[in-house]
Amino acid sequence: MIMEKEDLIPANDFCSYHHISYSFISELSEAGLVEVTVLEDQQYLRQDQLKELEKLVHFHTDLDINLEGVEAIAHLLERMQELQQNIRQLQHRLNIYEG
Amino acid sequence: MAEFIDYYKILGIAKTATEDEIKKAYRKLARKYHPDLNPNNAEAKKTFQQINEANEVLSDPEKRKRYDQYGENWKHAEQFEQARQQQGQGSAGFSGGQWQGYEGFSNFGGEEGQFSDFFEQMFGGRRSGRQTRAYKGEDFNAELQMNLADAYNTHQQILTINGKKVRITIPAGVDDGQVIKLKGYGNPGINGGPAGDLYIRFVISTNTAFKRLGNDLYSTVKLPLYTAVLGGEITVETMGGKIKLKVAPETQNGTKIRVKGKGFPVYKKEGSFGDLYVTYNIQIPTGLTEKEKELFHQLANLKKS
Repeated sequence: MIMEKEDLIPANDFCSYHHISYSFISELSEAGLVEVTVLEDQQYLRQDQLKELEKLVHFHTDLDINLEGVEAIAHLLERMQELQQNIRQLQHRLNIYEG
Repeated sequence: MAEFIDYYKILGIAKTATEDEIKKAYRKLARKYHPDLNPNNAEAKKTFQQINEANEVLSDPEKRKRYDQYGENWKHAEQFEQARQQQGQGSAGFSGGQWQGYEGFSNFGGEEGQFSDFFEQMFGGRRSGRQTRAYKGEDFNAELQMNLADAYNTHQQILTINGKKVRITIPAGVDDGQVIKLKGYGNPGINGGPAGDLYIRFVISTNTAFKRLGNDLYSTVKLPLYTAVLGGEITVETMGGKIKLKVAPETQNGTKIRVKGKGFPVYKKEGSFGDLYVTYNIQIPTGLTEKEKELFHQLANLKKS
């Protein structure tokens, strides 16, 4: 995937804004929850993943949830969204027979 | 007049609660009701806003003092106004800085404009000076109701968003539950932040004889007994108009046939359509004449012999 630099945010800027250390991002990255792009030895984050990432940061900083907890929540939320989507599809299918 | 709100009750703590107890109670409830942990749950969102507001007041010693002092008697406007003038109001200003922030209002800290009237009157509105970042405006979520016939054709619709009229083009084939994003049509940003986005979810009602599943349509048509037995031709409705179908001899009741390309338009693929599945419901003749009955008897006897 070709990435324009304008679509990237320096990870350090993000960390200082949220008062977190880069190690948190790094660990989220290791867990596959965020993608870090390295350009000229600098770590960057894609703009389109910031909203999702900020959600995880807030779980950690504001709700006092440790990294393992954040990781578990992220997976459960993903699963929950899949299930909600499945329910919507099933309701839709049911309408075909009941509607 | 806004109703008095018991912030202690909301957090489930005593009036004598320490700062630490308030913090613990708040975090406990926030972990349960945080909107990011309860996607698509309006009830949790509302509860979280109340919890957040309670914490906003009780975790700030100055606000808590004012709340404790005037809270229950806050309707005594004169005294209340005096108190406000003495205390002054917290103000929020933009502290500058290059990082504009990307936080949407789904984040922790609640949503601007979502505090109760009580809070607004007691504390003169917005949260205290700690909020000086540039925030992206709140995203709006809206539902757009339309019927299946509307979704069949590409059409334009005028929506009123924040008092502004916006014309959007809705491509044919849009799905029930599908969400489209209109960038920048949400709430304006705070302190120079970008405006939020508008997410429109389509809710498509079935008001036709057709059921839709993906791009395919399903319908049931009545088939005269004689056509079913002997074969022939019938005219059936599709969403694009009437078509003629050949019926094979000895067609059974409940037979389902596929009519290729007569289903629903495929989203953003002009000229491409799903299929139509027609189920035959064979009609047994009623009110038979003596002659017809006799002929059926003859048929029945033929089968027996």
